[in-house]
Amino acid sequence: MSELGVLVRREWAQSARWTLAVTALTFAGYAFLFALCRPPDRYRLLCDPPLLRRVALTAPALLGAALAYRGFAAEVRQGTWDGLMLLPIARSKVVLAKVLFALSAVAALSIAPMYALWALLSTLSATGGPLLTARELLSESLISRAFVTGAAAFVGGASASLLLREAKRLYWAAGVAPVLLFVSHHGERSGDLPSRQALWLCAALAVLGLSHVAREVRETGARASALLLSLRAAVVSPLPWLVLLFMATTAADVQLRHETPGIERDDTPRWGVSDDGHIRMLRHDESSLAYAQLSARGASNDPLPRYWQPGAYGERLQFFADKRSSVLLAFDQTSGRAEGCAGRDGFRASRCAAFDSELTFVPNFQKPFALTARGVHAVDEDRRTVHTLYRGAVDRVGYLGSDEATIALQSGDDLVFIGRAAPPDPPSDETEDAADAPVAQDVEARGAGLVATVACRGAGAFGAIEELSVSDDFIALEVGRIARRERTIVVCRDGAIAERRTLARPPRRASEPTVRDRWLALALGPAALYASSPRHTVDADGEPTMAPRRPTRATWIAATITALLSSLALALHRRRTSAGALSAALLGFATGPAYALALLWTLWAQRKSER
Amino acid sequence: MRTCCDARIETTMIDALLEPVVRAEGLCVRFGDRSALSDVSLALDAGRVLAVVGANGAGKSTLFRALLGLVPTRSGEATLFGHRASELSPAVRARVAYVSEEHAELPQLRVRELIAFRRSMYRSFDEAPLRALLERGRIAQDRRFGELSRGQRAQTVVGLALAQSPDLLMLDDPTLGLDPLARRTVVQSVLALAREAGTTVLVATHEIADVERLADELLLLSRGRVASPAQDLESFVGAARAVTVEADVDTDALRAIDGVLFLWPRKTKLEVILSGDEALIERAYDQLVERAGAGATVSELREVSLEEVTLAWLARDSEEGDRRE
Repeated sequence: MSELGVLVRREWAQSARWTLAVTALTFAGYAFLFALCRPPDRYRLLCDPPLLRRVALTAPALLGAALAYRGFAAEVRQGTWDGLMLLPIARSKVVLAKVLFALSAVAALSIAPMYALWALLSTLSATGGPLLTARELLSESLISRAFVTGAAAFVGGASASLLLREAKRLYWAAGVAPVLLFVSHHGERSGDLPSRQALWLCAALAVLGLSHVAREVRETGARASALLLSLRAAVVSPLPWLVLLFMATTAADVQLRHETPGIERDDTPRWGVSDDGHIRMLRHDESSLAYAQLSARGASNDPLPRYWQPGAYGERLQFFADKRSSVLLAFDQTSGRAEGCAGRDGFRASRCAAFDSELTFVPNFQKPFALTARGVHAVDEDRRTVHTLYRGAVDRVGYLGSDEATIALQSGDDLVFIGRAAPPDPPSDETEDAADAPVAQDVEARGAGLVATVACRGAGAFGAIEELSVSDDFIALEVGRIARRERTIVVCRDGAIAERRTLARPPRRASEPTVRDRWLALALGPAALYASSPRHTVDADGEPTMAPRRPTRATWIAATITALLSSLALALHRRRTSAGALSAALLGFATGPAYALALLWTLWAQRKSER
Repeated sequence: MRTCCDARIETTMIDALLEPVVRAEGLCVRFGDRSALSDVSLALDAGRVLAVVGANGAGKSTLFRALLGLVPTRSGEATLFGHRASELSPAVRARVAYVSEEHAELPQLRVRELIAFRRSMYRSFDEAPLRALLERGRIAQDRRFGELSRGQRAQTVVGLALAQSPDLLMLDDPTLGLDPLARRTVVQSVLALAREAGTTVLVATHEIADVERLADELLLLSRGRVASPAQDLESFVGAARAVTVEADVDTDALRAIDGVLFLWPRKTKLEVILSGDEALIERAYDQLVERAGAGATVSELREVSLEEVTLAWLARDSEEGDRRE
């Protein structure tokens, strides 16, 4: 045990500077987030926050990779690895000490800043502190995922480094695959672009190291140099990029949260609905489609595993959907103080009963409703009660923003509105009555003067309702099937479809990458690979060494595959895209698979040459 | 009561009786398409000092690492104390000290921390030779290894290796970058260990003067091959003679004579190094006189230095290598 202690102390001496640097960077990242958020939003950071994830997952991944580099690659580079292997102790102890140290450092980095933030929030009277105990923080927050991410980065990097020792062990690459799968699985589940990129980077890191080592061992035998350059390129060079990317995207994201999504300004005539309720070719400003965005769990591309989501803003309270326990948590909007919990059994000061199914998430939702896949519930802030407004399958939910029709639901093939009941109409003659006929029929009325009405039967049969506009005598809808790249414009009158037109291919959205972005991606891919790729040559003594600017065949193959994959990834990528996010997407989506293919090619070629 | 030292001496004696401390047979190491070692064999008995000499890139470091099981071999076998190099147990590793060419230690650690680390790893750690070297090199123990000069680093790592009290000391160019005084200090320390403790020493070096001072045997490596198998220094030098030819002669004709090792052109003269047993050298001398012609002046046979014969062997092997390629 004392030998292990000595070895761990040695690890600390070797990696202290890096560990402290990443730790400082992490605390700076947390401080940046804290400063960036408005006071009422700060306490959200702790509860599975999309923003915090960028630091909480990226930092351990960086530290894990850095420790793998220091613990294995740097040892080989400095020549001290041989000394370690000749120590009169079991070699497993040497590796165990490295693993123990790395995991401890990653665990500390995952836990310490989170608890520091928790302690800080707890002491700030303005926010009232987070509604989490220290134990809950450990189990409910990002800590466990951060630790696993860091550990995966370390194991991936260390595996790549260990391959260095013997060409035979190249086949250990297969052993890294589960790690990559695990990381990519987490990346998929995180449901947030920058954190997904961080995890993909982590995955790409391991593959990058593997492929470079494989190639260099095969071609030159310049093992230390190859490992050094590949890991340095993979770990160190993206670091400033990541910091800048983090700051830019986070600031932009925080700003976007408080902005209404912009409407694309384009004068090209397209199919739309005119003011008189007919489908025609119109310019943008002539279309009556109001672009009331609908979204719900069923149609979202992201599974959204977050525990707490901003659920709704009431008059005084802000509600969070706790997706684990399917209840709404209420906080005072100005102080951030926890006010209670709204569930099936009403509004309670502490615990409350869960709704019948998981709560859904509606961005920028301005009314205190609890939306589940099986119904809609209204929270009355003043009376502290919960009313069931609608029972039935809820596929998609939208918010229209008017008092008369507050929520739009897609329930099966029908469009249903839920809103406050209009005052009784004054008596009128037949003609006027026909002209001012209600566009929908009431189907159910529940407390607080709210009614649920079927607005358009069969409108959802053509796909998910994405946009809609309500006029006095018609409802205009845009219905789309993303998989088929197909959209249908529908006009409803008297609760039924009056006109419809299906368009084969929708126009490009503002969120899709432009042609310029795609060309940029194509150029960045090979350039990034070219810059990070080690080149080999032979020095005056005949020893293999590295020299700049001499790409090998494998580099070009990897670059070509990267270009193809990045264009494919971008073609499928329909989110809002900036140059920074584009670079991250490029590294994440394309680099990993490209290098994996390059690795396979190298292994195949090696086996062939050995035969 | 039997002491630790008694046990060590006994072990060493048994090793000596049974088989060489270091043995390699037909070692081949390849890095990709490049051959680093090709069919290298050697045997080193206990208490002997073997110097491995060769040009840069000859494969000296690779040979050391292959003997320690630190690089995989394509074919052949290496053993230390009768154990396969690739499967050395901690007990065997405790008997070996290795100083790499890079004089590698963690640059962040202080000298005192390095000492503490080694002391906790090696039970027979003896600080006396280390302290002597540190004092001679004026190396303060609170300095970080990375802050030391190249010579001071060399003295520190050699000192650490000596302090392990090893049975086998493997030094890969230990005097590289040292000033003459420091080099002599290091060589004397190694020599003292070899003589007093009966330690077996394997040293790779470019310094012929160090070889003369240190080594009992010499192995010449060139381009990963054995240019001259390990043999006693005396017989190695004793089996060579030199002769000077003053004339414009056909060098190819002279080179073809059996027994001629190498020709060194010297302005108007030609220095010819001959190697072999006495009869072969005399026969070669006669043929040389005959082929040089009547107008040529051929000196008498003279003895050669270790440097002359070593360089002749290496140069000849290099020429042959060029011809093969």
